[in-house]
Amino acid sequence: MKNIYIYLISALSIFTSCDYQEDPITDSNLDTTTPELSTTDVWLRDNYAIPYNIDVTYQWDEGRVDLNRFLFPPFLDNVVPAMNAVKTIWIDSYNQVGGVDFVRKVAPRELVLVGGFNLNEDGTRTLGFAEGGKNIVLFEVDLIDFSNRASVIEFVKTVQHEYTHILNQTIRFDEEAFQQITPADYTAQWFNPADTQERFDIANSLGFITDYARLNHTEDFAEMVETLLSNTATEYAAILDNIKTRIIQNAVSQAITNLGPGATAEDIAIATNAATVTAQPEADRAVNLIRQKEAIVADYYARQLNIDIYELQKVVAENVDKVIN
Amino acid sequence: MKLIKSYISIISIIIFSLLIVGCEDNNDPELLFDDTPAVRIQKDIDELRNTLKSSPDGWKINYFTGVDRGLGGFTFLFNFLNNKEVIMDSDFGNPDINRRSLYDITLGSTVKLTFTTRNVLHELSDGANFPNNDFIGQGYRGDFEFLLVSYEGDDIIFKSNRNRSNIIRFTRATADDWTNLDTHQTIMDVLANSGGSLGYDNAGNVSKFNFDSATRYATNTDGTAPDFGIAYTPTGIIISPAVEVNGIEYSEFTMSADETKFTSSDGLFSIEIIKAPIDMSQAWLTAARPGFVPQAFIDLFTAAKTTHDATFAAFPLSDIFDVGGSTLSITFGIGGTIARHGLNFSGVIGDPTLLDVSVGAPGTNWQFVPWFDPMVNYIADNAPYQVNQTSPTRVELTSEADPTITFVLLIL
Repeated sequence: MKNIYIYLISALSIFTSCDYQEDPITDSNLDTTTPELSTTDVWLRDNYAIPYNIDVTYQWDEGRVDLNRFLFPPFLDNVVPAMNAVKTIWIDSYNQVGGVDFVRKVAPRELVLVGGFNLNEDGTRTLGFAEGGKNIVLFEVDLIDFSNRASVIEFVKTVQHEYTHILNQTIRFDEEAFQQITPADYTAQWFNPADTQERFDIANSLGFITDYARLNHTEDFAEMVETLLSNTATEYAAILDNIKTRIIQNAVSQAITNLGPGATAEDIAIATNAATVTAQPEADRAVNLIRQKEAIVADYYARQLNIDIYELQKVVAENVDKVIN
Repeated sequence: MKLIKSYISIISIIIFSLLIVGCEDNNDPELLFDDTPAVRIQKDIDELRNTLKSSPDGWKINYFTGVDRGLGGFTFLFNFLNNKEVIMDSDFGNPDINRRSLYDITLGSTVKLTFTTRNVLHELSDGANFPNNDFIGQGYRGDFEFLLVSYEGDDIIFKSNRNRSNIIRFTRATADDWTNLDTHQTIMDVLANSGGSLGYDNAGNVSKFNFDSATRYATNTDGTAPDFGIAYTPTGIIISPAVEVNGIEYSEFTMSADETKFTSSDGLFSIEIIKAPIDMSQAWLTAARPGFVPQAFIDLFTAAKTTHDATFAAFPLSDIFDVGGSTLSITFGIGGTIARHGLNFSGVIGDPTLLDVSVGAPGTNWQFVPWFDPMVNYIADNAPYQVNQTSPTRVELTSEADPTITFVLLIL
């Protein structure tokens, strides 16, 4: 009987000691209130976040850019005009030609805005870059002149270039065929020589649309798209004509230089004619190589994306007009 | 049997005791602080935000962005209007007091104040806005993200997020700070128009500096003292690093009424603006003839000419030569060409009537005429000179050490 009491007391002790009440769950210690949205935030939400699931970061976030660079965020007032230009020229154009859901399906998840130049210590500048198809950093937001067509195109062409990479990462283009067009002339030293005109002349004569296109075949492809979508058909044709003209001019100039100071007018005339004739095939070849690349670009857009790039080129040009003051 | 029962009882008691002890609620960690980390961080953020907003006239910083890199100080005023917006003014760049930009306080490596949209402060961080070519891509190496270090009295101490060794002190601004910012320009103008030559006498050791208005930095020219950066105040300058004189560190100075020097508050130490008493960048000339230069100089000239004309017969040395001019040099005519050597002209600390001259760098063709060196050294060795300008086109330079040595310079 005595033992029963002992057991009872012990059991009661257990129940009492284990009768522990957890504190009730209270509100989070973290600030979970929805941030107050400014008119800029609301505009970006309505025009980018909700329809396209693209987050536009305009307030400084050190994790989004290279800390070793001296960069800074844009003026608050410049955010909406810049992003309106991007939307009108890039998103609206693709949607108009490729279908209303085109950009919704393939898009970067984040656009990061930087106010000024991304100036390298050697004086060159980087216009933008894309990371793994997820985010695009856009520089020079504060430097857009909306009364100047070239200035607006200069800003948006970064998006056209980087978006091409994102499209390529989603659906491959025929890289094997593309890189066989100018296989030997890709170089990591694309930025040499320092003189921009000289650099362009070399790249053009080798069958590249820009100097930067020489870096590798994916950049070459993106530069082709960027050039097509940053110019009207007429302007694009003029660029190719100018490439021919400059190749011949440079050949003539070199021939005259080779004559030396004692050359007569007749010597110069003969040398000019000879250089023109001999440089013509080189000029034709250079433009032909660029046209071959253009054909692969057009084929990629048509077959893989169901977009007529020449129609897209026309729509982009029309939409540029909409944002020019 | 009884023994077994008592064992059972004892074992049962032990087991129950263990259970009782085991159920004791002692699982919570002992807290060093009253709150959880999340709460403490939020409190720190709120405290900083409230402190920043609490100053009725905002905050002031003298921001030395890179004294170790050759950059001086820049004054900024901030007024934190609410939880998100701030206005700024500055003695640098293109401030717009009406521009509201955004700021935020977040947790970085510690509590961090970030000016998240552009305002005048960001001009220091614009790689394309650089004071000279050494800073291409770097601007003024400024930051607009500041990590909270501590509170010291009314001040808040931050360090730059980009350069963790750079401490920035936020002090409470006054209404006068906002109105006085324009008067910084007066000090800037005095220094910018001074010719850029500064100097001080530290317990008998004289040091000279070249001041660059673009970088706001004074570089020691004679290897006698550390360089220093300058920030402007309404009444003078603040320098960093401070100068130590007789065990006292001086960093704040007031400009004298005659705008010739900056003096410490105890009046014991000054940084002087060294102005040459005459503009030597004009086209002065003289001749190795009596009445123009001392006989000792004529003797040196004669010796040099003898050697020179014997060596370079086609390039005879002319006895009329330039001193000063746009190249700040001594320039001899030799036949159809010249031989040139740089000269440094400056004022003298404590005596605005004296002109100091020191030997600069060799220039055009000097490597061919080493026999000219004694003439250059003679001019420098007898400096400084008392300046007696008898007309706008005639000046007499008389050696302070030897009054018998006088050079007469003319502008023709």
